[in-house]
Amino acid sequence: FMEPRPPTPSSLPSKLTVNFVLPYAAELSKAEVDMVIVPATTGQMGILPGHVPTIAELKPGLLSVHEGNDVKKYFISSGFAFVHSNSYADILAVEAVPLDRIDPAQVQKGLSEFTQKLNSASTDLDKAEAQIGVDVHSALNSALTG
Amino acid sequence: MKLVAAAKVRRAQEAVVNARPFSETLVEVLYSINEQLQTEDVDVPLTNVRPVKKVALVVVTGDRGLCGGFNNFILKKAEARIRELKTLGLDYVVISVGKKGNSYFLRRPNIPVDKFLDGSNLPTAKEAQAIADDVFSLFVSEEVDKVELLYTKFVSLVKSDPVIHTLLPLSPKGEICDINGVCVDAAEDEFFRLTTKEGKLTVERDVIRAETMDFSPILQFEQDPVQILDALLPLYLNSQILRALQESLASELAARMTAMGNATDNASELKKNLSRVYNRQRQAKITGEILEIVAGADALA
Repeated sequence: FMEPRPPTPSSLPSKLTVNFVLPYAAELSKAEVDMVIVPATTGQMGILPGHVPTIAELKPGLLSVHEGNDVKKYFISSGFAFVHSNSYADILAVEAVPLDRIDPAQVQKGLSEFTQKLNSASTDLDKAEAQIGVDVHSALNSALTG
Repeated sequence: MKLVAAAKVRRAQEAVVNARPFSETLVEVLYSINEQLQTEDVDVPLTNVRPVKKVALVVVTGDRGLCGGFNNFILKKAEARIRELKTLGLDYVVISVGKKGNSYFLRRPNIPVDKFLDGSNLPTAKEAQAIADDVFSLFVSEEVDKVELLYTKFVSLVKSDPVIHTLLPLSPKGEICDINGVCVDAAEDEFFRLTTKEGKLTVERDVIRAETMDFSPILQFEQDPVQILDALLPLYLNSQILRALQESLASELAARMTAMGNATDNASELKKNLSRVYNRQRQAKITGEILEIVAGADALA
């Protein structure tokens, strides 16, 4: 059903094969690209062909897929990136949205709303929820501008 | 209604197929982490095995009727399991998913229910998350020591099986165990396909074993493996629940297809019988009138 990956070639492959999956669909399946930049919890991480096998946890942020001069950007909520030894990358995201479908005005509104909630939060739960809202919206904001 | 249900089964099947790459990749990551952590002690709250005092049962039923014995089977199984737990002296709490189950448990106030959730036509990760959150908090807060999932497994278009799977505690290897302790390796996955054989809709079940590749010894972890495992297991829990919801939906649709098909056949047969009786009566009346007229004519002549 999902074909097994080819064995590690002896020379460096020129393209990175990406499987970008969501719980309800496969966004990209075996797409041959030049580079993928993922928002790992430790920072933005670029994956090129021949990258060392890695497992990384992702935080809400910008995911960009570079193919020649073409760049496709998605905002993902969280997930994992799994790079294998033969230039195959599996990116799992819980939720992902192409950047052009996000409304900047809504993002600004959400950000100010949550910042206000954070300032007026009284219980720990409220504070935590407001903080999450602020984090996600500021990540969205920087994704849209960056 | 049979054709409507048939179209929906196809859509339900597609949903299962689409969700597959996600859970397969998740299993792969889980495997590779386990390989690396074999010597270390994994302390993740979701895998804690505690002596069982209280069990949470997540019961998945349908939203609507007209599906034959579907909802009945699963509720009977739930009742049987509750009785078993009572004889073992264990406490229990129910989480009901689906309007039919909700109304059943509402009518029985003697069974403690933690939460009522409505099912839906298209189970998404959001609904699965709501159930996962509830189950997660119950388990981690040590209110319950074991979580079991009761849903209907899709066997074929005419057969479906209510099964009980142990959801929590998760085995770190991601095995799925049912109550008898029979464990299925997470890499082995059964899935069904709606196809046509000799012009009739049938279902083929296939077992696929995900390729567990030889893992590179130089596998780098961006974060601490235990931390990654910590974040991974709730996601895995979510995908398990989603899978159960999707299978339940597919079984419900198949049951509805069969029930409606039978109803249509019965109605056609009834129509035929009634038409026959009607025509017979009509003929008899006409014959009677003709006879009267002939007799009358004879009497005059």
